[in-house]
Amino acid sequence: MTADAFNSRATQYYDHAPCGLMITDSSGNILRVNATFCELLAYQAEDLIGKCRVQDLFSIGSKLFHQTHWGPLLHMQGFVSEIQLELLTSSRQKIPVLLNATRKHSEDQIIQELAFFVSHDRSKYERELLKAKQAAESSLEELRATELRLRSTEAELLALNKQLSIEDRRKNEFLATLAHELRNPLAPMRNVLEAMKLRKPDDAQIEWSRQILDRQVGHLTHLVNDLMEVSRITQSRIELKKTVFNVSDAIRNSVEAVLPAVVAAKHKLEVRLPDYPLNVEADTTRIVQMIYNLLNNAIKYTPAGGVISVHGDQQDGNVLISVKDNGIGLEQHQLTAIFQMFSQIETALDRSQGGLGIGLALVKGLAELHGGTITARSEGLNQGSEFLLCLPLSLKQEIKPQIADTANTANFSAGRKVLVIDDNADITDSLLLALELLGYEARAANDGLKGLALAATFLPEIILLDIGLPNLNGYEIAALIRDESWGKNITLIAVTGWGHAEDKANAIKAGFDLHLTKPIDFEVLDSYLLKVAAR
Amino acid sequence: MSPIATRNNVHVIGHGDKTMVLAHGFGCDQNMWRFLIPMFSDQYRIILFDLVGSGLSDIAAYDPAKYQALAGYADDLIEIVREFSADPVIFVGHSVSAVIGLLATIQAPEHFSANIMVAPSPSYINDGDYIGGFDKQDIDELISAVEENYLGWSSAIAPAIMGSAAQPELSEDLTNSFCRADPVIAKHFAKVTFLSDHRADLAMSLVPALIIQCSDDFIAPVQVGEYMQKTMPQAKLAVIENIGHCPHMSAPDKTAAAIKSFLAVSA
Repeated sequence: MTADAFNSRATQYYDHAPCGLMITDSSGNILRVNATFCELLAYQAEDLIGKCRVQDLFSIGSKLFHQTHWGPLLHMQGFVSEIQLELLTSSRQKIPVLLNATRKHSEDQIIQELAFFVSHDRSKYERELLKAKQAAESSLEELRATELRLRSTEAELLALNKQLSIEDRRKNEFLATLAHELRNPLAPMRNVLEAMKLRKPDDAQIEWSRQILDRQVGHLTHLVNDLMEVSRITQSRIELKKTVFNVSDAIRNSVEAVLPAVVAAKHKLEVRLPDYPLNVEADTTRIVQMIYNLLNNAIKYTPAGGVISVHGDQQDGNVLISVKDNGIGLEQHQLTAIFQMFSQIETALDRSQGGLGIGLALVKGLAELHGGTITARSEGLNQGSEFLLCLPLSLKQEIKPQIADTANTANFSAGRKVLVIDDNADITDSLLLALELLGYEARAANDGLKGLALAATFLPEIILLDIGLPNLNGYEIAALIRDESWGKNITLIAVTGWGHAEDKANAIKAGFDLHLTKPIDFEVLDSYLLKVAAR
Repeated sequence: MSPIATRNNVHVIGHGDKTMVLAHGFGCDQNMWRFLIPMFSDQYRIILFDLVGSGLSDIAAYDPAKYQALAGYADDLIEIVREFSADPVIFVGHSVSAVIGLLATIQAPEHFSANIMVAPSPSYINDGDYIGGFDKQDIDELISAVEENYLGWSSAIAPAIMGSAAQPELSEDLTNSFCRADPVIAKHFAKVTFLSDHRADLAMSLVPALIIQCSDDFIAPVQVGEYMQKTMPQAKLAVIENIGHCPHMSAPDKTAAAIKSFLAVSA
């Protein structure tokens, strides 16, 4: 090939190279441009050379990017490569291209050599990539926003929860106080009733009234006790006194207790118990309390003349106690709600019978404390209901407690001196009445120091001492009594509205022989005094 | 290095009684002052730094909340001046850094004796009578151009594959750091820069100022320079013959002359 032929080939190759080629001065003024470039943008070379700058052919975004990014870079570095930009055709169509460029000294001036490669496909591909990236970014942002919302919701929930638990604790404290306050007036009422019972009024009208009062005070005492017990469970202040015993005995005891109510409502009561023992290791009093509550509910929510059945059995290592009635029944949604405190059956026959729903909440709490469960079943309204109490079966043998013989109460009490110290005049009056009827010689004082002075002359063998006294409290008085020569060996009994385990422990620590909760159960008192006498 | 020096990749060079701070614009880093530095380094102590998110600044220090407004960068600038100069400085800021400098002179005028603004614009978007040069749509196009290029850029640009032998002034360090930035940061910075409007701040800066306006600048048109001079109480305007947005690179002699004649009478 001759030199001329080679030069001509080279020129042709430059003009028709498979990429747009261009030479500009340092400011971008176009000095030379090949045919490929001109065809790409639909310009004539003479429209471009000496008439415009390369950046005039860029889209606005590309122009900005040129000015801020690769222009300075080309200046500094002497080259740029793989710059993506958009060229504008003479009819303002955008064409994506990749640019490689160099900047160099040529003779006495600085020139820039640029090569443009059309990148339609690459550009499409990258746009897709970018779209995917943006989609990923926006979903990430959404995720973050959601997380943020979630976190703030969580924080709100936490605060709310905290508030709720504070409210719940206040409520429980309130209930405990309420139960205690309700017990106080019950004590003298019970005492008066006990006294009336011992005196056996001749007037039938009065006896009838006494029986009504006796029953209602009994109900009220139960309600208050339930309330007290529930608040103890919710405050985790309950202590179970577990022994091994036969649940059948507990069922019989409960049945005996509700018998008068069954008779009054003209219900039929069926009791089915197996001939083998259903031993559980549990707190007897509480188990009786639970069955009693279930029976009481069955009686209450069954129209007069209904059928109530109690059934005990064992199954899969559990003792099952079923209390079934053919009463007003329960709707599906009530089956679990009824075990919550304050839930009340809306369709109760009589609202006054509805009660506060403490009974079932107590049963549930006690069942759980014993590692058991309570469930309710009903086919629907007026289809009766069944409550199933399930307790873990114990394989241990029952130990029969020695029951004290309380037959000789009258003999024992005759002429014995009892001093009652309590600031509530109703309580002292009613107690004095009851004690005298029981054969004791009783005196009373309404504060600790007066009681102390009276005791020094009266020389009682037994002192019933209230704890919540004005000025010196019961514990302090007890200590003073024990300091006196006459007080060292007497029987000192604390009488309070508070029946918690720690109250009892405090009483024993302060020198008391016994702690009784108001209202006083005279049988318990009598049997205790009997035991003291026997020592 | 102090935490601030690390954060902003601060370098102090040159000798002189007075201190000059040079701040780069959007898309670049402190290397862009290379052509101007020799004209000042024998008379001035020069503080160079990279805006957080650019160049060799500490990328971990980029807090999108702090830098969602230029005031975040102005706080950094004041911290740098406090740490590296006992006396008030001559501040030279290019493009977005000119506005960052403007905000710093309002906030802490005691640290600045002169504010030299190279190709500045207080607001890029046309608004009624105000000609910023762009519509919102144009800025969106730039942001997507930035994004498209950064898709492959940070890795594609770093290896210097070709031609640095012909450019003896270049160092390996330069090719590896110039214009390098995280794509997410670059996009965010583009938005913050080009969507900001600091026209209302112009009247509040009382530090003597020089506006260096290029005769042909696509990014900061001549009208912008004129608007700024009218609005700023203490500003002089120097229009220099130059095509493009970086006169300190493409016309360093003219730029240096304008700065020197301003400093001769003003600072």
